Amino acid sequence: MSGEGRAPVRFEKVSRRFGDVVALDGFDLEIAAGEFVTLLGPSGSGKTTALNILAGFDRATSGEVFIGDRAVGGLPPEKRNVGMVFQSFALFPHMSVFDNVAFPLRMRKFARQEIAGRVARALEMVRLGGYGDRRPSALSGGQRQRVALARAVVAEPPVLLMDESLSALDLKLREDLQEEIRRLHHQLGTTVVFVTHDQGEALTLSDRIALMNRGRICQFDTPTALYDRPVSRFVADFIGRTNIVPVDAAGHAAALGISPDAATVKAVSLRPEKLRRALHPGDLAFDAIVEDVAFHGATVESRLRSPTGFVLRMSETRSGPLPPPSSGETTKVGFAAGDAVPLYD
Amino acid sequence: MSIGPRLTLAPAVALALLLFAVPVAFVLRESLFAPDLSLVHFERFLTRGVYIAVFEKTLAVSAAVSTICLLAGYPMALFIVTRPPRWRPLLLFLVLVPMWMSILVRTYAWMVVLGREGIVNNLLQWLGLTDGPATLLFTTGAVYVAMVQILLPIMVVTCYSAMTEIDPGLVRAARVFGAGPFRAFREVFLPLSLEGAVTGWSVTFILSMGFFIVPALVGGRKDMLLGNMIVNQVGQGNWGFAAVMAIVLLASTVALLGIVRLVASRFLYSPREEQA
Repeated sequence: MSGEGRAPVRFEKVSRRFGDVVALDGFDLEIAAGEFVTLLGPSGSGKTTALNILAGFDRATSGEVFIGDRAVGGLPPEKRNVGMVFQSFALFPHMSVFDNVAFPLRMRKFARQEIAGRVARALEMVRLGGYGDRRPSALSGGQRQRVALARAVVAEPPVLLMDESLSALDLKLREDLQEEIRRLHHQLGTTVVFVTHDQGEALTLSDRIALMNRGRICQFDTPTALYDRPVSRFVADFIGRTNIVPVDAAGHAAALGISPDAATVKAVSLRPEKLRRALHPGDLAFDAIVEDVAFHGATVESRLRSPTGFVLRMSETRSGPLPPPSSGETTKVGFAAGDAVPLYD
Repeated sequence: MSIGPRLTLAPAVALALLLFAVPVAFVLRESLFAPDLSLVHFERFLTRGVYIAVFEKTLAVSAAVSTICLLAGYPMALFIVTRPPRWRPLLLFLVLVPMWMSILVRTYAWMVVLGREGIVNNLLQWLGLTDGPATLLFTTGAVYVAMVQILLPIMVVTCYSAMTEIDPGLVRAARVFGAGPFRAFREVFLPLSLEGAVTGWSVTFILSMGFFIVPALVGGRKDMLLGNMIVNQVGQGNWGFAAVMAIVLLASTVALLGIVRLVASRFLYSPREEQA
């Protein structure tokens, strides 16, 4: 199985309205062939609507969707040649594992022998060789989702869609399957459009993430860029945890030593793990009162109060140079000037 | 702990015995005494052709009515279950409304509709399809029409509830993996809903086997079912012979449904089995 047939995906000014509710609002997105892109966002952000329109379960009110160079907006799902992994697995309960995986091949009228070979290989690939005769009900949740994966890729579709595919599983299984999905993507090279509300999953799996809110894309970028250079408060706040320090007359930012070089900067985002008590040369620094200290295993999380009374969170690794702070102490806290990310909204 | 569940079940079991097993035992006893212990009633039933003929007719009518209900009710249920969720309660309500009227009232209504001066005859003459009033009432056809009308809502509801159990995601999955709407129905929806359809057929069959008001009111003399024979025999004080027919009715219904279940469990997907 190779990635010969992988295809780019393009949304062009796609809008979808349900009565007065605008689920997608002029949605533009270009996904390269073979790329793993995640649509990430809170519920109601339009990510599932976008996926449904791409799969053919829903129609755009306006705009067009392309798979390869083909406009697919008017095509029913069965004509789009995509694979899909559903949140609820959606394995056919009245069919054996083999018949489930064989289904896309049977619909495409493959010869019986070809089907047997491909199904065996697909099951082998998800490490379920020999499970063909079982009913889905006889499998564990993780095994079911691996069968669903095998079924989604067995016909080597140029695009693979995944709708909250891991949300129904517990944490450990989810991490195992994330690895599985990454491996499959490397192996097959197909274009993957993954929908999730779980930012950790998005950061781990994706080449690029389209962070969505209210039917629009807030930022479409690599996981590191999204984390390090958020373009808005929403992005900074949604991805990881952060301190958003307003740049205003109260002087909260100034008290931390921050002086933005543009008048349009309304706030800065400062990640808790960028704050440190062991100052580096050139660090911006301020006097902080440690209000609370909490042990989190690998890290120690402190609540700090700045000279202007602004509350910030600081996260330090326990292997750092200093012993953990104690509640009530006053300490110098610093950060590299470049780690204060300017926000313009 | 091990005896607790049994104890709590005891009242229900006692009630079931009292209400179901005891009456059946009484009927069975009645059939075997004439007035002394003998099989004379059974012998009479089996040796007189007329009773066997009525018995066969009852089986045939019940099977036909249930099958017509299935063929009409399954598509109706399918139609309702594929409507947007906010329309479904209303449609289901419309199907159920006739069930709020007693079978007797509905059967009289059919007498009015199918009578010589009834709506159907007036319509036929107005359209010029018939010269005089056609004989619609007191026919086998009238029995079928009335029985189907009475039993159809039960079929629709049974099929509907089975269909609502089917995850709509499964049909979507079938579509994405290359099945057109009809193929997705045949490969996924139909097999998953067949068990409900068989249940609907069985329920209507059981109810049909016991019908006697409808054939008595809208059927002709030759449309008598076993239920009517039982009523007649009871009316004449022949409790023993009536009991024999009741036992035959019960035994044949149980046997037939047993066969249907057996065949169904062999070939059909059952969600309950999965959970076991």
